[in-house]
Order: sequence, then structure tokens, then C-alpha cells
Amino acid sequence: MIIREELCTGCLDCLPYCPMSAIVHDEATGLAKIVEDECVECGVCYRARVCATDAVFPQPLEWPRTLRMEFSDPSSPYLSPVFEHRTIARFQRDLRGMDRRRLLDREGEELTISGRGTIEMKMNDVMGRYKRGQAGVAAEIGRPGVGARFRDVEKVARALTTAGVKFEPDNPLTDLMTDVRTGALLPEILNEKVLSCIIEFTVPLASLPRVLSALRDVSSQIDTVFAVDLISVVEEDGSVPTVPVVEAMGLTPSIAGKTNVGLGRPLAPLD
Amino acid sequence: MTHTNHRQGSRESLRDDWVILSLPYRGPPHVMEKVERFKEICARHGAVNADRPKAWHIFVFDRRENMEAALKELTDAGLGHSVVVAGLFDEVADCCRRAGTKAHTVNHSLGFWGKREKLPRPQVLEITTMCGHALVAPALVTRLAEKVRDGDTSLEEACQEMRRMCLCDIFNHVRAQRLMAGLVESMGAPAEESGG
Ligand code: SF4
Ligand code: SF4
Repeated sequence: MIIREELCTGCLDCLPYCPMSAIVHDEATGLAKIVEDECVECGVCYRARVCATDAVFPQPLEWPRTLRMEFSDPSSPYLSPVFEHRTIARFQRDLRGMDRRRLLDREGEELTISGRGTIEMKMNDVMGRYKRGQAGVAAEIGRPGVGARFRDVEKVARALTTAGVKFEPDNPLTDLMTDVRTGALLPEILNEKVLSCIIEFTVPLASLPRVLSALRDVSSQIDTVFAVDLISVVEEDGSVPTVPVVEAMGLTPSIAGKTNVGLGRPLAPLD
Repeated sequence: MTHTNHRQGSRESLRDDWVILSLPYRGPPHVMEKVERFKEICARHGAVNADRPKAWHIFVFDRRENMEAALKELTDAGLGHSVVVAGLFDEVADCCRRAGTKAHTVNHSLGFWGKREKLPRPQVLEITTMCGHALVAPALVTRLAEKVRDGDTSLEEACQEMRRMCLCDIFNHVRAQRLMAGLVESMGAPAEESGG
């Protein structure tokens, strides 16, 4: 996003809307400006429509900057060539040709929020993606609201491979890897900044402590935060087998979160 | 997407925050008929965000009784679609039991790791995390709280403004009013005007 200097009156109304605090007051000109390297192209400032003179302007994006929008604007289609093989990218073909302003101007029913992870446990009752004896784990790097560079995403990915993790092929991050065995990402994207990026995987329950320890170790080596998710099938008696495992590590699972309430049919086998 | 998984707050505070969402959200007519039924049921049971059209079938409730009534009717309707309820796990499990179903799979948050000093203070985080995509800026929360304190806007208007940023419309603007009132109170009186 850019601010067209010739239109900006310096009212500063747009400043608080930026989740990355990338819009700043330029003391020299008295106007607002966007720090290009900090902007994640989420589109919030444009969609907020608080600029009376229409000075906030979504400039066309080129690879690898396209990744910023793809990972930060939940309504963005997949534009980057690396995602072309994805079903969702094909489905969004009509959007991909659209001018960026028109993309951002879509509202309500027209919006497709495709997400940048997978549907994880939302349909586990009918898909059986997570089985008994397994744990689903996600590290949402940059969440909540801090943002992340891909170089930090790569650090986390590399740490996880050393703990034996295999990455979820359906997750778009996998398309950005040059080597899924090491978690190495395309070198030209490492400085790109996004609101968040999700690493997802499934491990046997017995491997959970090792994987979470690796995550804990790498958490001190990155310049951002990540939110950790833990997915588990509920036992017949209502107990959740992952809970005692993480509690033994001194971790406290949240009191609130998501429950798939088992209404999907037919139910998928879990063993 | 795990964007309802990290809503913050004490048990007491989370009692007015429930979300029901369903997949699929597009498909052939016989599927969409059921989706429409799902939407109609959630809207009728008092979802606080039923006033806006949206691509995602996400319904936010500020009262557990309403969420539970919707869940019961969804169970009885036997639509066969996957349904996810976000909220306090033990209470959701109880609601499931009374509605005639069972918790199948759960997604817990293990919190925020790494450079936590980069996070806004807890009172602001409780509000911003209600948009899981983090489209509600911490600075906007603070700015609007100042405006409420100074009498330049109402609590409701401030929370509707934050809601407007959340593309999925999953931001609980009713709960936000309560959280915002607390935030405004903690800010104290506005700074004295200089001069005079
Ligand atoms: S709202 Fe528009 S005119 Fe005001 S500072 Fe921002 S860009 Fe400039
Ligand atoms: S596009 Fe997003 S990150 Fe960039 S300036 Fe606007 S609000 Fe900030």
C-alpha cells in the first residue's frame, strides 16, 4: 500500500488502523507515509475508508511482494505463480485477473475467505484426518498481530524438521520450500513480512513432547511470536489424550477453543 | 484456519463469547439448501452478527443459552454437515451432551510463544484477538477507547468500528463493549487541557 503524497492532507486519521503500525507521521512533510518494508499489504487501511481524499492507494504488487497480500489479506486470491497448481488458485482464476482496487472493494457475499492453512479439524468428523493416538499441531507464526518475516518462519520450520516433523502438503507454506526435508524456503522471500503464516503437521502422541520442546527452543531465537494449536480426537469418555502429555511438560492448554461437535455424516474411521 | 482458537480472557470473561461455524460454504444446490437451513437456525437463535451478509457461515453468540438452543436444533435437524463450536470446552461438551451429540475433536491453544514483549497489553489483546486474522489494530483499540473516554464516540459505535475491520465478521462486538468499558475505565481521566 502507498499513500499518494499529492492527495494526503496530513489529518493522520488512517494511522491507528494499521495492524503493523506501518503508517507513520512524516515529520518532514507533515503527511502520513507507509513504511514499505513494514507494510504486510493486508488492505486494512484501504478498506477502512477513513481517508477523505482517497490518498491510500493499493499499488500493483510483484513477486515476491505478492506473498505479503496472500498471507495477510484473508480475502486475497492466490496470485503468485508458486500456487498455480492449487485447486483454490484455479477456483479463484476470475479474481486473479482483477485490478487490486477492485479486489479490495469486494464486500459481503462476494468475499471468499480462503485462509492460508488447511481446514484442520473443522471436518474431522467426516474426514478422519486426525486419528486416535495422534496430535495435530500448528504454529501460527506472527500471530496475534505481531507479523513475521519468512526468515523467522524458516527458522521454526528447520527446527521442526530436526525433531522429525513432516510438513502438511496441503499447506501453502510447503509450496515455498526448496527442500521439505530441511524446511528451507526460497531465498528471495526471506525478508518478506506477513501478518501470519501457519506451519501445520500431525505427529504420533509419543512424539509430541519432542516436537513441542523443539518449538520451545526455537521460540527464543526469533524476532516475533507464534500461537500454538493442539488438535486431538476426544475419547469416548470425553477425555482428551493430549492434555496430560502437555501438562506434564508444564504447559497449560486453554480453557476455550474449538470443538468439532460431531454432527458430520457419515463419520470417518479414526483408528 | 484457526482464527477462533486464541480468544483471550478469564472463564468469567469468556462466558459471553461463543461461535458456531460450519463447512462447507459452497457446493451444489442440495448442499446449499442445508447450508441455508444452518444459517437460518443460527440467525433465529440470536446470533449477534446475523445482521450482515457474509461468505463464511460464522455465527457469534453472546449468550450460551442461545448458542445451545441453536446447537440443539442443528443436531435435531440432522443436516450431516460438520459443525464447530468455539468457546469454553467444558461448557461446550455439556451443551453437546444435552443437545444429543458429542465433542468429536478439539483444538486447544497452548498460548503465544516467542517475543511476547511485542504483544499489546492483555486488556487490548482480549479485544484484538476476537478478529483471529489480527485485522483490528491495537492502536485502533486504544484510539477508540480515548474517543469513548473523551465523549467523542459511544461504546457501541466504537465496537462497531472495530467490527468493520474483521472480514469474517467473527469479532464479537457485544463482548467488545464490555471489554472496552473496562479499558476506558483503566485509562483514567483525560489529560488536562493546557492553557486556559
Ligand atoms: S487519512 Fe488520508 S489524508 Fe489523512 S493522513 Fe491518512 S492518507 Fe493522509
Ligand atoms: S496495507 Fe495493512 S500493513 Fe500496509 S499500511 Fe495498510 S494497514 Fe498497514
